[in-house]
Amino acid sequence: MMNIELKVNGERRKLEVFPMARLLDVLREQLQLTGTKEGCGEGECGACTVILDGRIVNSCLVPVAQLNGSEIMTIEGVAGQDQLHAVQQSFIEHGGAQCGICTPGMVLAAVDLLQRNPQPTEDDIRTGLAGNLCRCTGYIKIFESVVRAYQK
Amino acid sequence: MRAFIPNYQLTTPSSLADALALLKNEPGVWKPFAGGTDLMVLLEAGKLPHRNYLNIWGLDELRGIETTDTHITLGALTTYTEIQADPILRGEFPMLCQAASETGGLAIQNRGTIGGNIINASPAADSPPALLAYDAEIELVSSSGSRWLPYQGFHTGYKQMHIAPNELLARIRLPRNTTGLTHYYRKVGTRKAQAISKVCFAAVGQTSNGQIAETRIAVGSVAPIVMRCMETENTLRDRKPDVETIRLACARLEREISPIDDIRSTANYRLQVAKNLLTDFLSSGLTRAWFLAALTIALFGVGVKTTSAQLQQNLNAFRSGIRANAVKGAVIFERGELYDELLQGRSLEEGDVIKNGPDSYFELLLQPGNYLRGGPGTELRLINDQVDKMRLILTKGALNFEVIATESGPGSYGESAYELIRVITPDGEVFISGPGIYRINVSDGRTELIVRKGEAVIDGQLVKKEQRAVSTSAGVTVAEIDSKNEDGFDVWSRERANMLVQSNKLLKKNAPWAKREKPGVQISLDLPKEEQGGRNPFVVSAKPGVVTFFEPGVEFSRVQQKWEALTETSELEPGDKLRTDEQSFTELMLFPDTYLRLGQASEVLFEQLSHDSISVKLVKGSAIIDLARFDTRRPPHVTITGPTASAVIADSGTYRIDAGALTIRDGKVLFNQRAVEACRSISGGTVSECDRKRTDNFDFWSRHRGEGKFHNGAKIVSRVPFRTSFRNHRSRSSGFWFQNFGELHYTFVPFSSLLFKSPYGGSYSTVLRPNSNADRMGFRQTTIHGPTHDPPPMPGPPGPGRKQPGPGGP
Repeated sequence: MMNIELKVNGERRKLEVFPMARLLDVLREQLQLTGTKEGCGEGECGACTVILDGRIVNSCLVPVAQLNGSEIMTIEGVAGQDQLHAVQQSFIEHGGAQCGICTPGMVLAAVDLLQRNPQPTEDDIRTGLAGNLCRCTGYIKIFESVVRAYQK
Repeated sequence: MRAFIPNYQLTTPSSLADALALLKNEPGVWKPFAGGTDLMVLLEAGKLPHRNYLNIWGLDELRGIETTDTHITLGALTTYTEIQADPILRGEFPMLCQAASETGGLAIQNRGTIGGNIINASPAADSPPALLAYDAEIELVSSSGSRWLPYQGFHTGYKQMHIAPNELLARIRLPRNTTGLTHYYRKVGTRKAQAISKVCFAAVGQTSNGQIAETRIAVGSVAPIVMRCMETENTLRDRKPDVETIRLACARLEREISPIDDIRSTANYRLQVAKNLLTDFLSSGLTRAWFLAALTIALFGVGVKTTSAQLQQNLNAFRSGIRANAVKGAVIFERGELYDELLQGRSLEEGDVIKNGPDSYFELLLQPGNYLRGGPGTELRLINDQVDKMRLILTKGALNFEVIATESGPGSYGESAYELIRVITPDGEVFISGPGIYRINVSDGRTELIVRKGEAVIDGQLVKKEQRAVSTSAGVTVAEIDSKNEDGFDVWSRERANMLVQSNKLLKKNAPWAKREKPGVQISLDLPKEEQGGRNPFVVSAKPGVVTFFEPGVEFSRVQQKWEALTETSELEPGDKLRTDEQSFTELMLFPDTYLRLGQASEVLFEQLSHDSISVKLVKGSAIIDLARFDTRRPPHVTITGPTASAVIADSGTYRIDAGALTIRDGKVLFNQRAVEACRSISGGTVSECDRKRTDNFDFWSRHRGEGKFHNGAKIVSRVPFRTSFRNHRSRSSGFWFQNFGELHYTFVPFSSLLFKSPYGGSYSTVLRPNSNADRMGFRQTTIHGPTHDPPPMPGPPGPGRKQPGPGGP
């Protein structure tokens, strides 16, 4: 076991962890942040996407020993105090979510995309979300949600 | 099953030195762990064998990209995202950036490292092919120092590599010598993102003088390691990237790689894809000049298929389009912004410009069987490259046309079956519409046409065999020539013509369709069907004013509306105007068997345009009405109006409207309630005699389209649809261009033995389909799909000395 300190959704957290523990498990089990979902567990589906030090990663592929001093944003940290993020609002309004398993990862990937590229083309959106699989929507509603989010 | 996490150690060293000391002191105990994008997958699956990992992710010594004049050096922990963001890598090593962008998705690219991609040693890794093609070197460090070694050879077998347990991969460097190289990278996987590759192909190359000077090819997922294909590279060195070379290289590649069946793909599929990618690299990537040749063939060419499915061979052949067949000296080629050397094999398009140097020559393939050669100092623009609307502008220099003849005999084509070639010069316009040898010279203020064989027209003047005509602003003068008097360009043209006939002869032994195949092997030749341009001439439209000939420069306008380009689907209405520019003609079918032709720089107004009544008024220029069938029981009402007079057509015939007069060349009109018959002109109120002599190119063009009528066995019909169909058919069924193995130029191969003769002498005697004795010749198993199966057009005219022309051949 080792001790690490990291910032999750702006909150400083001290944890005792096994070094090879996956960030995903630490978030869900130790920190009770179950908004982050596990899909494939091998970096294919993007359901466990979080933003680590400003970049999206698959939290199932990150061992917690590498995270001392890092800053993490999960789906729980996306919305403001009393207002949803534009991307979240847009997903609601335009049917971007169906069963919901991919949604946290999709939203984070979209938030990250719009941060880096506030006016993405359709190609940019497809590339930005290429690592996130959805088995319900057929993606069109998701792309539309992202487009509407930045058009606001 | 998921691994038991507490069993794993992941220790974070404080520095690179700390890490190396640990590796040295406990050799084999600690394995480096970087971004985790591969190892964590194994962990989740319960397949991560080792227990003790060294977390190198935080070692800043292994990060960063450094650039010097000669190299760019990447820390082993450089992520795919960082690679894609580096401007020098993007500019000089695009394949590495492409590999980085096609590895995983963004979340993977933010964590995966170039060093991890190497040390994980997957045969399906995506960046190693690019690194191999770029001749990368790698640095291994240990507590006792560092060593650089070429990346090629680093991997020795599946997950085996030249690295000691106490060493870490520290840096990768690439020599900055990619200027002038063509880069070609293709990853083939199930989808674009996130997929593991089935085949990953990276190659760079360079040609010099049309030959492959240098190439480095690396392929992933086709062997236990990502491999450089040195044997294939050696095969390619100093060869022209033609079809033969591609075939050889693919055969060599097949021996060099060893793909397997696995969960992602099969050995067969991987092999085929690897060969396809090599072909694509060589034919379209590497050699933009040859390239079009090989590419077109792969897509549309003549293919030989055999029943043993593996043996499909694409032949070097094509039928339509203009192509450079020979180039001597420096010839410049311009297409829009593109400015390049004209190389043999280049396909040409409308709008392309060719400029010859003072000592250079070129030869172009026009319609199958016809060659165009350009002499020193020539400047030529292709205005229209369609077989039936060939139009060229010669601004200076000299051209030699070779139009090959079909000898008379059964199934012979009359001269009316030749397509028109129009050459526009600063001082005039030349029409070539029959077999022969024609030279056109353009120099200050004069255009000269020399007819060595055949007949051609310059500015309304017919020029016969062994005559020359000079057109200047003062008019056209004709004189005899000494046919023995040739210059260097004529000699070169004749030598080329002879060589091409010889090339055809050589095919007798070599042509794939002439070879006797093993029993049970069936050969079939698939010739590409060509689009049938234009309307079916035999469909009689319900609407008057059907467009039967149009080209760029022809426009029409509706009342109060803008001019727009006329196309075959344009439908004209009463009140519409129709006009041509200085270089275009057009033709409309008014009623069945009644045509209106408009000369260059002309304009007409359709005052009436209905099923039973047409009134055409000339605004400027010249127009010809050609009425083949005048049914006296239900006479069509056709009024023709020029600036000075108006008349009503009263019989079948040919009527020309000019600014100065109406001319009844053939037929009868009603003018001021009296009949005026041919050949007379009406100017103002006066009627005068005229002769039938043709005076300008418009007259000749109208005749070439087909003036007048003939009896087709059942009824009187116009010549136009018959000729159009006849020419289409001749053009489709004449033959194709074929490149023999080992030859750089194409030669003409007729579809069948109709004695296609070069006007320079010799005949194109090797044909695709022999006249007779097919069984004895071993052709029984040959099936031919393509143009020769088109039905012949309607029965021909009962012309003098000709029975049924039967253009379909024997």
